[in-house]
Amino acid sequence: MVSTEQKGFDQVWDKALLESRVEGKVLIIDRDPDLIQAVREALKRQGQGFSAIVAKDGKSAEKLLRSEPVTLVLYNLKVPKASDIELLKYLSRSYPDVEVIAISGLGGEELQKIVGTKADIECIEKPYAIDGIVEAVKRALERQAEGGVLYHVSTGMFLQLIEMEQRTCTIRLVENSRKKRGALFFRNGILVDARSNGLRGEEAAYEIFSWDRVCLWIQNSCRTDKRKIERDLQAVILEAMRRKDEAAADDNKDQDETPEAEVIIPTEEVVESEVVARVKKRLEKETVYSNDVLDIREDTAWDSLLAQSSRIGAFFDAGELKVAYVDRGDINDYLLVPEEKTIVIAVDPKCPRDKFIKLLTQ
Amino acid sequence: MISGFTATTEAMQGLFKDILGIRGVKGIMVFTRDGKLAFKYFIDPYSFDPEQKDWWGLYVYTLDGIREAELVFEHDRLYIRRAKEGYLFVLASNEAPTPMIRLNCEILMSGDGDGGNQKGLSRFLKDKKRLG
Repeated sequence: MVSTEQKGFDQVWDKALLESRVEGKVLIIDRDPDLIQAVREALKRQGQGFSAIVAKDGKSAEKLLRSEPVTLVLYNLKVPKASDIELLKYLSRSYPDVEVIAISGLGGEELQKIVGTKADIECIEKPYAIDGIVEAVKRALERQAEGGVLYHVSTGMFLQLIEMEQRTCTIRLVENSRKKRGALFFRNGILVDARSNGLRGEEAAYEIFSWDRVCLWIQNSCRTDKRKIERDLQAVILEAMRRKDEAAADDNKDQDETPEAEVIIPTEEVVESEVVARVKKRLEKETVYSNDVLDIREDTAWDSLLAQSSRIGAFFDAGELKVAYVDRGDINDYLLVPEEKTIVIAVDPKCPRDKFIKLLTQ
Repeated sequence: MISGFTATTEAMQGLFKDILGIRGVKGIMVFTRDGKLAFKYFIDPYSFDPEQKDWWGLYVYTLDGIREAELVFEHDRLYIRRAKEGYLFVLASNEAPTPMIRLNCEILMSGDGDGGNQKGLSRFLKDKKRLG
């Protein structure tokens, strides 16, 4: 089972970097070499996944935003011109998950008024100290993971919990293969918007929900209140699954129709996952693995029940869910062990239930 | 809690007297099949209130088809038992004798059959339906 960890900045990001190889880029819109150098050095100290990229003006900044995984913009406005304000508005509108730190001769309040209060820009007034800017960058990155970091989770399962908890948050996600990234925006548990790889709204959400496993980190605020997704979360998840299945079916069809395609005969051998082998070994060791255990497998179909059960456990302050025993009134009963993918142990209904539970909770 | 159901609260407490008397049992909740909290009783006052959470309905919906479930957490466990007209949730510490809880729930459910002479939980849930 996944666990939310709220640790210090360094620990959180070190682990995120280590486990999912998250990359974060800070886009500096400025020409001051001292500032660029100082921020680059500070990011180097934070972790290998962070780096700074530089845009000399708004136009090249827009280009970089489209092609690079930017998590934060550091914008030295000097005396703001109309084009600067336009760029700030564009950032707020098109990249609500990308935080902006503005360095300006204007006061923070004044700048907010010009750009619009929803823009939520952190403002550093001039004259500035390099250390102050570095601290602001660090704070902003820390804020993005203030609600915790989760590794290798199934998006659908986790996000239903966000909906149930009625949370307002921004969730940034990276697919485990590291090729895709996106952001989801929740207001009071309602998915209002999404952004991913040039897509926005429902289309972006379908893209994100088609990812199998992600690393995600949560910010306890949401900068967008415009509802770009009208359907509820369940409907979006189901539609994403439908599209995914359809795409997989099309791929298979294409493969079938290719005459030159090499025919690969699947082997009969089913590879047992390490976790399943570990659970099996534990039961075998205690000699309860006998006729009572009928099957052990990984099955994500139970993820939703376990995720919701975990939520109830948290509500009652009962601690982490260790194991669940389920009787559906059919020929088997089931022991469910929360792991990355739920481990399902089909057992004889007459098995020594308490012995199994004791073993699996140890 | 569902309004109009208060009249039967005392009777419900009486019905669950045996379960609530088991060492380690912390409380009981009864949900209707459509996920509405019909009854709750906690031995120690808790700071939380189940009624403030609206995800019970989805949970009961997810439980559909499950006759019995036992969720074992780090400190406590939740025993869930399907009744004819709803679900019974028993919250207990991990030290509580779970076979006793199961047995008492079984006894309670045995009066909850399809016959006209219902003595168990359904009688109250049916009352609630009339009241509601």
